[in-house]
Amino acid sequence: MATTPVSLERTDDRILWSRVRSGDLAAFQAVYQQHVQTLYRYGLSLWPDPDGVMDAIHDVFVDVWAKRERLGETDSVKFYLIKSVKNRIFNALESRRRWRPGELAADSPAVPSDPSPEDEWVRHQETDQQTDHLHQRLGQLPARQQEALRLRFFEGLDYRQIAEVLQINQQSAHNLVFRALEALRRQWPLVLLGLVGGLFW
Amino acid sequence: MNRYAAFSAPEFVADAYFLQSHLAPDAESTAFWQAFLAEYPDRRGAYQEAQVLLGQLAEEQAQYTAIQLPPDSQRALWQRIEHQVQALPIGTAAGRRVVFPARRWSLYAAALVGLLLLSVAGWWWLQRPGTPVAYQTAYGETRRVQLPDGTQVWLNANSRLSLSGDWQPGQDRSVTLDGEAFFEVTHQTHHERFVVSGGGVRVEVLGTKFNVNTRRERTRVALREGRVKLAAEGTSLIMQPGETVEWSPKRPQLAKTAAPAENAAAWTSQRLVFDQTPLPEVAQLIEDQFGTRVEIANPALLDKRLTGEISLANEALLLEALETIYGVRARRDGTTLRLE
Repeated sequence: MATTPVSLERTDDRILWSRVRSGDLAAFQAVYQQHVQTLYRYGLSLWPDPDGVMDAIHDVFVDVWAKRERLGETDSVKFYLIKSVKNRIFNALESRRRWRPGELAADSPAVPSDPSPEDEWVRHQETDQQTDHLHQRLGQLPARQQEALRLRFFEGLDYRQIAEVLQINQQSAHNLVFRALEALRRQWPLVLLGLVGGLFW
Repeated sequence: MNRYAAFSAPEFVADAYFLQSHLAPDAESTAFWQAFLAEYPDRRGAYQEAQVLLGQLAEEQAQYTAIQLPPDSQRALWQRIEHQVQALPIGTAAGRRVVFPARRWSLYAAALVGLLLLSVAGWWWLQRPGTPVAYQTAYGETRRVQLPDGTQVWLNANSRLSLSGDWQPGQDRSVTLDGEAFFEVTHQTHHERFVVSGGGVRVEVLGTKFNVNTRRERTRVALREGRVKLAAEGTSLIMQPGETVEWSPKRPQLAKTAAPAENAAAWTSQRLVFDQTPLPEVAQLIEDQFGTRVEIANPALLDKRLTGEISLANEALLLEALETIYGVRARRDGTTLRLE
């Protein structure tokens, strides 16, 4: 698998970040170039609207620059940006849903209460699949399990980071990944290739 | 080694050490797993199943990673970001709030009056309901900003423009203005109106270029291009290009004035244009622009009228022009400027 654990990110990531905090626009552009594809894919997996995702990314970057002097150190720039994009998209979907006339009473709670914002959003996602960008076998799983798997195995986030993105505790993040893997295993026919003991690769 | 003794395949895959051993194998982890499998041969099945699962995930990842933002879109998105951050003030000026970055339409119909609309595929934006967006300038500062719908606004000195309400598709785009601004409003596909409120007057436009000045308890709207409907306290009128209309609480009628509309927006090119303008009014303009209190010390100057153009680039240049061209001497007395 191509993903390296996030803790092994290059230290020049940290140098770039501190340059951004001092107002170095070129460093800021480098951060953009380094992470935009990741953020785009991830955003699209949450919300299959390319323009919407690009706007979310735009807003995140503009916001980072606007508050660059107040930013702290981060153990991972990628993680920070993923979290920010998630928040933007989540809020955007929440707002849009609330604004749709006629659906207000039926659909949304007056105040999103505790476990429901994500569940509501999941329901919205499943009914709003317009693009087919993410035709994957993963797509059979509940959206939240899909997201947990992608963050863990495609983006290399650890459980603490996944927990923060999904707003759950670390143990729950681990359980979520575990349940997702169980579901995958049931779903995929296992093909035992000619393995001869030892490690696969 | 014990904790892995009863692991199922999904448990292996979910385990951090198992994953790391497969992503970045080293001598230590290889030895560990070999020893583990030797001690717990009944785990081989689950272990190998876990490896197959990982392999299948790797295939999924390849598909996922293949989703790319095309290079030109990536570049265009960066340009949008760069453009937006460069519109933000550098650091924070003394005592003034830093403005929020404006939200963006995803595709905006950037048509000025007289141009055809480019393709519009519907529009939306990201906005937390209730988050205000406002722009503020200091004395001596003019700024150009772009609103979420593509409208360009030149904000003159000591002015504040705020977006009212939540801008939504299919609804009016409302702003309030305190000070002076020149607008180039974009025309939207569904003819959503652009409304400027300030100084007791409401300016409704479809897509056009006009100047609004709400200073000194007197609102003046000068229309350069397009059509504008003005409304104030029960009266309303429709403006034609080239006209200037004035309204104030003291004279609450929308009255057309003689001042030609082109001069009203000269400040956007850093110039002030006078056309038989009485000096007291010039003094007021200087105050409005730079925040300096101006006093006319010589009573003979009260009737003096100025015609011509001077640069607004900075106060010193302006005063120099006053002196050499118009023979009006300006002397600083503390924070006040005395004209003699």
